[in-house]
Amino acid sequence: MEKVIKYINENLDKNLTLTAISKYAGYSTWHFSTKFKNKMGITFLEYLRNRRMQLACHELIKGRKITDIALEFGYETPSGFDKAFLKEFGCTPTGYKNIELFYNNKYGEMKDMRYKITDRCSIIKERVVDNNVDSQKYMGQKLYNYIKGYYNLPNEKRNNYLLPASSLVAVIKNFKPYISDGELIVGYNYSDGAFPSDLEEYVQMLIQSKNNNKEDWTKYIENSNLKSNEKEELTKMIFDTSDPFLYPYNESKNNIILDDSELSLINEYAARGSCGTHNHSILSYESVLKYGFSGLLDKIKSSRNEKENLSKDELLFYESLEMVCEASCNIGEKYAKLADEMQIEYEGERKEELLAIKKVCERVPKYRARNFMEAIQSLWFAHIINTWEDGINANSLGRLDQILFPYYKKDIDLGILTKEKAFELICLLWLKLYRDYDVQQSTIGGCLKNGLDGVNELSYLMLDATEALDFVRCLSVRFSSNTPKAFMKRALEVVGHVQKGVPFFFCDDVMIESLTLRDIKIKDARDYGVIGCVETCIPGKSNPHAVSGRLNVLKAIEYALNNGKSMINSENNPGVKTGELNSLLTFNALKDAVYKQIKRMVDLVCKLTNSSILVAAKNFPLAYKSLLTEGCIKKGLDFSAGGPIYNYYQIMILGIPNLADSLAAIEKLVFIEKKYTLEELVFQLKNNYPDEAIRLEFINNAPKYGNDFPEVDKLAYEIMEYTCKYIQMIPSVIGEGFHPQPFTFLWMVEHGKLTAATPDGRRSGDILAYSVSPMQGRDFNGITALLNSLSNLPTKLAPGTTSAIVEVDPYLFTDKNLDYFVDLLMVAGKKGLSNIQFNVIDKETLIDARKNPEKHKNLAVRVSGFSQKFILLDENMQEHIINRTKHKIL
Amino acid sequence: MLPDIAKVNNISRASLSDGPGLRTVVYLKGCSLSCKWCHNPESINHENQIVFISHNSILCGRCFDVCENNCHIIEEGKHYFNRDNCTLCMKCCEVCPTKALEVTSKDMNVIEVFNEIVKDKDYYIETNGGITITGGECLLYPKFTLSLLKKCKEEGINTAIESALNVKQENIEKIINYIDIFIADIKHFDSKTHKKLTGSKNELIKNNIKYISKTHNNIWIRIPLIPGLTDSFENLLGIGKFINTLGESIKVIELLKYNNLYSGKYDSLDMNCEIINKKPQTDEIMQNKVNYIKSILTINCIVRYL
Ligand code: SF4
Repeated sequence: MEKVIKYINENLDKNLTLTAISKYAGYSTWHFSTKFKNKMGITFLEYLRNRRMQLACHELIKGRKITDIALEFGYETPSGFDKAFLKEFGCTPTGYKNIELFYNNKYGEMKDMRYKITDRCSIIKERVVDNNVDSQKYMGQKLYNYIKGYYNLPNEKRNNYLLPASSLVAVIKNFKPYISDGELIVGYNYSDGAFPSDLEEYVQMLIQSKNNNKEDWTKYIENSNLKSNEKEELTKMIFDTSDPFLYPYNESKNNIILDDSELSLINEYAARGSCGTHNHSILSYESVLKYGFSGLLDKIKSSRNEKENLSKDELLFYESLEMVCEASCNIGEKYAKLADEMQIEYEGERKEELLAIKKVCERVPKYRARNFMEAIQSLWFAHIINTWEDGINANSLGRLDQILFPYYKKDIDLGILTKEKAFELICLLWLKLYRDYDVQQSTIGGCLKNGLDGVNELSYLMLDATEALDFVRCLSVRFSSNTPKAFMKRALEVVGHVQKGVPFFFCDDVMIESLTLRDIKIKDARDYGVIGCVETCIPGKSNPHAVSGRLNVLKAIEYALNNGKSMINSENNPGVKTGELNSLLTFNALKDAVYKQIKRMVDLVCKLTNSSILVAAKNFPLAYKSLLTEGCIKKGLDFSAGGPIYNYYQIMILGIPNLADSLAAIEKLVFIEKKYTLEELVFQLKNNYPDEAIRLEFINNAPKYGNDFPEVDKLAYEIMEYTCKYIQMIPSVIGEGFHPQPFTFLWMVEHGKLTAATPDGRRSGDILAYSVSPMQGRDFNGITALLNSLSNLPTKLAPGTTSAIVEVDPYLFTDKNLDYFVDLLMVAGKKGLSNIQFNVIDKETLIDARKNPEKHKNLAVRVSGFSQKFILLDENMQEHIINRTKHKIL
Repeated sequence: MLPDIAKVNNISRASLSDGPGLRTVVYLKGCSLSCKWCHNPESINHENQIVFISHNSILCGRCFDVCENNCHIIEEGKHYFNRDNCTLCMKCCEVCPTKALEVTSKDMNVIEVFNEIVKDKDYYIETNGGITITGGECLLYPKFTLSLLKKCKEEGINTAIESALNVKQENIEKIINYIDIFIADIKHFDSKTHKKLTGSKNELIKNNIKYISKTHNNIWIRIPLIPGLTDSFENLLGIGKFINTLGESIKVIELLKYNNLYSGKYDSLDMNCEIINKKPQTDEIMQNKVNYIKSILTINCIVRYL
């Protein structure tokens, strides 16, 4: 089927019939139709029409005449084309063109219209970002209420479903409301602090607290903003209870049996696996906006009533959802009451504002949101509760510009909202989300479910807010060949202005195809959102199990060159016995050995993950997430137990660039030029390169990934292809399998520490390359070469996204160059780039470059007609550049 | 048939300042001028040279071992390179693991160069970019340049060359039909001064520019402004008046700001750089010069500085 879809996409301009394509696929027409519909969620003809219409849209934007396009796409009259277009996309071609032109042309105009942050926001920013004052106020609130909810549950109700639900309910009900000066959006989740985020961690922590960190706990409780009797109570609950732990932890023990070599693989961080259920989600906040929690409560009840002969688990499941949903209904009330109390003390503007807050909170999130203000407040409440369930971390918001747009549009049309006010509200939401380490991602841009471009005014306003507030707001931009260039330009401009690497960019053309290849229906795939760093999720429909497993493929070369033994610990035999060095007579024999090692690592990662999937399904239900994820209520099955429509597990792959560089170096220096034997090389590796000249030779005299050199890029392709395909072949015990994700997070450091010296010239213990970015300092062939290397990878095999950070000279972000930059990204997207993030070079990097030139070989300074690598400049000049660049940054 | 070969110093991708759009710039080695301020000294000499960057040396001694003429000396923990006896056998460059010793250029045939160029074709199309062949003096390789240009045209790639035009007119005649943008340098209007600064008089250059202005319709003129040498108003006046005689085929005039970041290159080649440590012009000064040229011009064209 993958091949067929590719074939269709490549031949859209030809005459494709159902019969012909069925024949191509090797099925009868009937069989093919069914298979296609099952996989994609729409029929073959619908798909074909949709794809062709999208091409037509392209032509429209390019400025071609509608009559010509109609003819080219097989419509004899423009009106026939108009009708078909209207049916497909809900607007006429002319209407579409006008909207597109509106956004494209508006760029210049909007520049003058961009808003500054209001005084209200500056004051709140100072409080939240600079002084972190507010968080003091609610310190201890979550911990106290959570534990109390856990203790107060009567014995007969203490089970896996109701315990966590009861804790969450207690927090929702009893967390004290606060409204700070100037706030318009109200509600807090909790401050960063030394306490865990969900029940599982609480219990672990409580057990530990008895012995070890009593002092820390005492201090935390002392500093918290609780009443003194509450403090006492909390201290008692933590330290003085004899045996409160009825939570059935015995069942959660993992019964998996591992042999010694598997244990070594785990200990060397070559392969690790668990079921990543925690705090990585995008829930359907949209349904809270649409139905309110009271509407959702009705849904739970009616779904339960429809079912007959409910099992004990199902009964408990529905009960837990009802508890949480009911409590969520009433979170607004508390704030309405507080606002009402407060307004008495105020006069004038603030009084009005508090009265408005009261009105909004009386309504949401219990009932459906009717306007933009209610929508934002409702969404924020929905988000707070999500973070109370299992932590703030990477619980993300989804496609905010799409979710909020209907409310925005309605209010603007009615004249009850101004753009300026909307901008302020977005700023206020951004400020609510602020954290020192923020991965509560929101996604903007990208296509609608029908495939058309979805950029709207809110997408722009959200970029504006990100720029104006000037702190790291975790934001990603989806783009495709349909995205207006004006929007991309604005997004890149924000990267250049904010200079903190936000927003990130995801290419729809690659991502959507990679998701549909994994049996996600096309309309859902088109709605993907980004979680945390770069994990992909189908919002409100999936449990993506981000960060489930990870493997470091670079270890494969270590094991292959040592017949399965470890080079960092000679006692360990983590690998497969793939033969002594004298049996590896050809480069292909070596590659085979490497693949065998990778295969075994993948096997172990999936085995570990599979075993913990069952444990999680049984022991860690997440009622709130089930409530807001399609599939769970209908199936009567929890979020952790396969309830969502889609369940997949993301497996991170580390070390691809280093392994490609290593193999390329061996191919050239050992097998082709025969400068060294494998034995000589292995001696260097085992002893961490006693000969520095040899190490440098393996770095400098062999091709390196990231420079558009086919010899080595081909190897990176093969390694990624092999690993991804094999991961995808393994079934998961629940759900649709594993999603490969060549992404390292920060773990290239810790995995590097346990990796011996490698043939790419990397020393033992050194850091690995970040994700699929080239090893730092080894890409020197210009940005187009780098983009080509990145987009040459088989990115469509990685539905969990690949990731790459590109360091860019601030020079490239000047207004004059932004248009080129947009073009570069658009082209790279077409070629297969799936994700990219930018780092604008700062002074520190340059200073480090002067000290450690070998680490920064790609740093180039460009002047008209001549460019020079930074490290080749003499000292005075380097000093000059360091100073010059600083000026640019400030 | 053997493909045409040239000494290629560098193929630099994703350039934004050598013609329109995003371009790949091919630098050929060897020049018929030798400007005192040359920013690419490695491209003047026709022969291969060795670039030696002493602070990259780790004193591994490999060059020391292979050199039959004892050119490499390590003294008091420092690596010295004595070029006097060097026969340019290049053995040291081959064994050097750190790129402390590198050959300036590589012999490449048209196909090899083209294969590099074509890698960025999609970017050229999206940005209206293409390739720019420069030097040294690319017109000293008429055969190579011609077949490379032809190949690019066949592939639909936009072509430009940058030349100082101090070459025989027949070298230009052959290639002019395959060039979309002709970037011509003018350094100094006065022939005697030109000789002093670049080693050659400028009559040939002027004639060639006249010739291309009659046969080509998209010419860009570049003037390097070297403080105290070429940036006087007098020189700009002379050049401006000359450009007026060329007519409408001149589409763009670019004034190049001086920069002083190249002296390290001279050191690594053991070449002597006479013009060092001049102060680069401010943007304001550059804009003044642009305005000045505009005031002289009687033709319609874009004037800007880089
Ligand atoms: S090129 Fe040959 S002769 Fe010259 S220094 Fe190197 S090894 Fe010696």
